[in-house]
This record gives sequence, structure tokens and C-alpha cells, in this order.
Amino acid sequence: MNEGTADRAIRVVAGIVLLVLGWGEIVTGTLGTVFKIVGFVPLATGLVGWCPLYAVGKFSTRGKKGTAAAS
Amino acid sequence: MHASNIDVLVVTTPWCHHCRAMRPTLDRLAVTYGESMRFHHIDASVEPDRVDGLHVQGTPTIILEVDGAERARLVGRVSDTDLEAFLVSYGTHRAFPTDAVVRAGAGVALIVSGWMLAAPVLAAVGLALAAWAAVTMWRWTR
Repeated sequence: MNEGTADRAIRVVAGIVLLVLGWGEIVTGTLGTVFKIVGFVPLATGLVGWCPLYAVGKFSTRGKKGTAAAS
Repeated sequence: MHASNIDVLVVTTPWCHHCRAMRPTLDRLAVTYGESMRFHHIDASVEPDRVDGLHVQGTPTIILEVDGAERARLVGRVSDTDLEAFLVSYGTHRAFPTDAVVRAGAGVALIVSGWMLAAPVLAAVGLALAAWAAVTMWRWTR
């Protein structure tokens, strides 16, 4: 896990908002389609607590010191 | 599910400031969770060969083993809260699944949104999250 609590909360909320805007047809057209697809990304990464981009960049929002890695 | 053979290896060095800072918390956790896990303090300056075998690259390093196999490790200084959460979540398997609560909340939000907006996809995703949360909570109560 490389995401802090606030990071995860923001991702989950943002994902829900994007999905609602897209799938609820509140935002239509190309942007709505983008929301429909992209919305799953922050939702999933927020729920799991792990971001693949963070992992590639060896970045974490969990804390300034220390990392936990599952073996 | 409660693992019966949990060892916590705490690798430190005498000159490590972060190691000393974390020691009171580790001692407290050893008392709190002493019935479910064994704490082993390893001084890297005294047992370098053993530390090499553990592939330790810095101190403090906390290695959690279950039935002799490494399950997870923590490198560097972390907050008391994160340290206890690490031991509880990886070691005792009895940590309250706050993630499940978050999933349930997200699931409910999506179900309600899907129903109000007549968007079955949202409701379906919400149901899946709620079901996942329910399974997690059920497993935790076993």
C-alpha cells in the first residue's frame, strides 16, 4: 500500500463523482464517456490503497518515513 | 483466523536514532500482543551475519514472520499508529477491517446513485463493493 488515508478518501470520492456524472448521463458526449471509464481508476486505486504509478515512481503518500511491503 | 506462530524480528543498531525512538512503542506492543506474537530484537552490530541473511538494508527494519516465513517487513521509522496497524493487520489478522467499511460506504453511495439516476452499472458496481465488504466482515468475525 502506498497511499495515505486522505489520498485514498479523495480517490474514492472522486471516482464515485466521476462515475455518477458519467453513468448518470449528467455529463454526456465524449467527456461523459471518459468519465464512465476513468472513474473506475481512482475508485479502484483508492479502495485497494495502491497506485501503480506511485509504485513505478517509488512514491508514497502514506507517510514521510518508513514503507511497508508485503513479502 | 488467528495465526499461531508469529515472530516479529526487530533489527536495530545502537547508534540508530530512529531505532531508539521506536523502542518504547515496540516494548508496549510486545506487552499488548505478547500472547499472539513473539518479539525478537536483533542488534545488527552484534549479529551481522544473521542480518545479512535477512537481507536488511537499513535500520530499523521490522520483519513479521508467520510459521517461519516472512509475511511483511517495515523499513524505517513510522508513526506509532502505523506500526501497530502493521503488526495487527499482517500479524494477528484481527484488525478491524476499516477498508470494508469504506467499501460498504462506497457501495451504498453507488447503489443509491444508480437507483436515483436509473444507471444500472452504478448499482451493479455498488452491489459488488457491498458484497465484497460483507464477505470481508464475515471473514473477520469468524
